[in-house]
Amino acid sequence: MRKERIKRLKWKEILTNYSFVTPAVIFIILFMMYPVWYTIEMSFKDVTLKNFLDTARQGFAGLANYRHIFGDKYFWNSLNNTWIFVLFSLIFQFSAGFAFALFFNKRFPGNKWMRAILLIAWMNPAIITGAVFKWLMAGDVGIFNHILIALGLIREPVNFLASTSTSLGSVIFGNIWVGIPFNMILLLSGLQGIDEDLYESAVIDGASSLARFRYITVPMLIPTIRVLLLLGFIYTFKVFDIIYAMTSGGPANSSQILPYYSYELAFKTFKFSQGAAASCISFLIVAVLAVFYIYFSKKEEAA
Amino acid sequence: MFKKFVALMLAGILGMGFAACGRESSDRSGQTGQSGQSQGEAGGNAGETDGAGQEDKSGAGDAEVLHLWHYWDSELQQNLLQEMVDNYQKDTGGPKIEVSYIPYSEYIQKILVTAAGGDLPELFIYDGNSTATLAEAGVLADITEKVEESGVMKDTLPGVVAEHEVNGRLYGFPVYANCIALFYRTDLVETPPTTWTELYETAKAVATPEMYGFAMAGGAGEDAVFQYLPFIWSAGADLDDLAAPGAVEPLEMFSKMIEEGIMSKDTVNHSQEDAEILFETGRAAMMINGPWNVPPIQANAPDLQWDVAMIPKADNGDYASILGGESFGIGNNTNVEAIWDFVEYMMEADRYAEFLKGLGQLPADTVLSEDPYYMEDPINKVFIEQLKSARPRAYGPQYNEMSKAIQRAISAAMSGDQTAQEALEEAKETVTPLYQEFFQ
Repeated sequence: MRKERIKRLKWKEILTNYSFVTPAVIFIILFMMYPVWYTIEMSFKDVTLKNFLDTARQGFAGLANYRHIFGDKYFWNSLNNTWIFVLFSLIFQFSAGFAFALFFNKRFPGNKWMRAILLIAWMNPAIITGAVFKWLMAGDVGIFNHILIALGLIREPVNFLASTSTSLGSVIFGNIWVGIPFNMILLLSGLQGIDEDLYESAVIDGASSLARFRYITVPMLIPTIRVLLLLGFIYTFKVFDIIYAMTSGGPANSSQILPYYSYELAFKTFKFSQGAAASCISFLIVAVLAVFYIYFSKKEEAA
Repeated sequence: MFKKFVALMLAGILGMGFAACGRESSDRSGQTGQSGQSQGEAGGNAGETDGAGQEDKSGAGDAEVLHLWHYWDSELQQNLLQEMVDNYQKDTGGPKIEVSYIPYSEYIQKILVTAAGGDLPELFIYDGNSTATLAEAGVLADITEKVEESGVMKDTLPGVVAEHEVNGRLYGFPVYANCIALFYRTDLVETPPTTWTELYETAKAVATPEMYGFAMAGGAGEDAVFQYLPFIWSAGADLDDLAAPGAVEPLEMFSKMIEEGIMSKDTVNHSQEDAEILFETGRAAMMINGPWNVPPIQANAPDLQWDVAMIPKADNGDYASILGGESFGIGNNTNVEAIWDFVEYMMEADRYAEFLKGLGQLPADTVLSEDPYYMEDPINKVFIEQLKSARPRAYGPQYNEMSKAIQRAISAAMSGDQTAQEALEEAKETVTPLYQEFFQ
């Protein structure tokens, strides 16, 4: 009798505890897992405008969508551009962000409001930033050309966005500008978490400022840097709006990266399944890298 | 005990929250434009709320509300539309019609998603050129009989009728039509060019370091194709063979003009709006553009001396232009009978004529265009004349894909990445099979 009571109590307690998790679980299933599942499912079907509304006619397509995408040279072009875009964005966002973080970690007058102003770049909707850069970099009226000519660095205006050789570099430039504040803020909070005592004792031991940076700052920041690079990678890999606003992937697909490629397939030519397949490929790339990242960071922690 | 209570409450609130969400999205309460729901969310909801949507309809059956969707940004146009709806109710005591604005950028997606939920608006405005695409998606109702009975399109230009036809059935009717023509500065260009050679010569002659001789759209987007097609049609070329001389020659000419600085090197990033800005600010002596630019130029540059003329034709070709404009469609599986009453009210000849003049748009039919309002206006007159040579982009539901390939070719040639011939050969690989598939 008593035993049963305890059992019942336990059962009740378990149920109560689980009911606290339920909202989160429902939310995740409904708004995170379902869309992902829907995209994966769609990538194996044949969904076009013709049968979009008529689910009964959406036949199973097997790997046809993937085969089509892998056979499309514009896919490889956009994948190639994606790597360049991600790599250069990350390198410059990170190093500039780091430099700013070190700078703002010092006390000086105006520190706070200057930091706040820098954040504007990050708070601005990317579509607006893109539109602004489109004007700044225009070949005929752009202020960049104006300045470069005034400084005597170039003679003829450069058509940053209108030439296939400079368009990708130009959107990377815009994206770097957007990403610097984000890198700065995370690194700055990391820097501020480092105990001042460490630096003090290093100074007593006669460590130069370079040595303090190399042996205290960098190692203490490793966890922050790791998270930052992973987040940065994921953010950069799915950049869309800035490219949409600056070049629409052009000219001649020269600044097209994977998310834009999927968008064009799905919402410009209404090949929903092919667009979904392209998205799944992006998803897979990010997922694989994330898994590697977790694996290595665990290994490092254990060591 | 208390914990349990909280948990239950949470679960309850959550459940209600979802139910509320569902209702909101199925009940288009005029807030549709502002709802700003993300794509995924709306897509996710659309499926589940199917049932709720049905319930909603039968529940509120006694006082039926009809829906009219549009993406018109201009306040003037919005007011005219609202006025039409208000007058309809006042004059006929007909059902209430709710007018909702949805930004153009998410318009088609929104319609597709709503269609998946089985809850389309009874009447909506759309880009006439998307008729085939929307009909293929099952969004537009077949209104052939309705149109024929009511005579709504009895005087409509043949090209405009063709634009609304899919397999011989009608899926929409025009609000208005437009086309593009040549804008030129009368103080710089004495006689407007009539042929491609003259266009090049004139543009070259008037170009200065501060001013381009000619401007047009060339960016990634439909604008570029919209402005390129009249040229190839003029030479007798078509999308069946983009590598034909008639299709290559104009693109070659544009690339050459860009190369020589007669056109902006940024043309490859320019929309029609950008071309208008160049013209309006005195940085281009000529441009190709549509009648919707007339009011902004008049307002922003009142001192500019300019006029319009037909688009220059191929040296031994015919005048050609392209058909644009907006249309009304009826949502598939909605209450066609109820909304058609409003359509007939709106399309009643005098009322429709006033509506069009208010919008500042050209009529898509042969009778209204004879109205002195258009014929006595030198600018409208040219557009009406050009409209007669305008062709629709009646290339079927795969047109978007063809357009994308052509956009790529235009930008590749204009940026000097490929020659016009190479770029169009590449586009041809995509376009010709699609063309043949549709016309076989």
